[in-house]
Amino acid sequence: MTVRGKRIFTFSIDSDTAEEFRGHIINKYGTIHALSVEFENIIKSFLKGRKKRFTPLAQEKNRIWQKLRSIVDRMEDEGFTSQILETDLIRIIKEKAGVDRRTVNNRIALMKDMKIITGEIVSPSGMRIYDLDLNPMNMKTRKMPEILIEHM
Amino acid sequence: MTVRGKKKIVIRMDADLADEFRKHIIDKYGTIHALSVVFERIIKEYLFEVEHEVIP
Repeated sequence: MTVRGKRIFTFSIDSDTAEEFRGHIINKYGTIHALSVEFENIIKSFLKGRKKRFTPLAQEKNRIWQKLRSIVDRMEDEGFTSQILETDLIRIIKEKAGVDRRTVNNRIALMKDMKIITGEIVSPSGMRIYDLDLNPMNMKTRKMPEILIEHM
Repeated sequence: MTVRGKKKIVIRMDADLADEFRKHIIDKYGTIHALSVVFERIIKEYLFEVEHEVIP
């Protein structure tokens, strides 16, 4: 452990798997208190042996993120004041990506919509640029996790 | 998933490891929302390996 300490992770898993895992920990260590230690070991070996493969949607989001970042950088260079605000941009992304799209074809349509959104940002009329935290995480929407799960 | 539903698990992890794992998920899936799904898959694979004594 580093000096940075520990971080708490909360997640939900299928109750049968949870019970099985709990039983495994108790059998192995005689107590459930070893849960976090065992998890750390599992995650360590997972990260060690991971292969970098991206889902198409993640690739697309990363690409859009890069593009947005470069736009904001350019606007800042041109003297725009940085402000953290809920922008029209975020609202548009939420509205567009929040549309219920389930089929493969529609998922492609969603990506195309997102491209259109980046086009709207570039357009000079009525443009409002803020110092957005353009992490792909912040482009989350209610429907996005479902779409990602379908990809897995 | 069975009809028994989901169970919430809380774990404490070394901050550096947690950051690396979080980054891995965001890089791969574009969102942190896949966390539970990835965790579930990792645990299932681990339990399968333990049960079948699979040497990685």
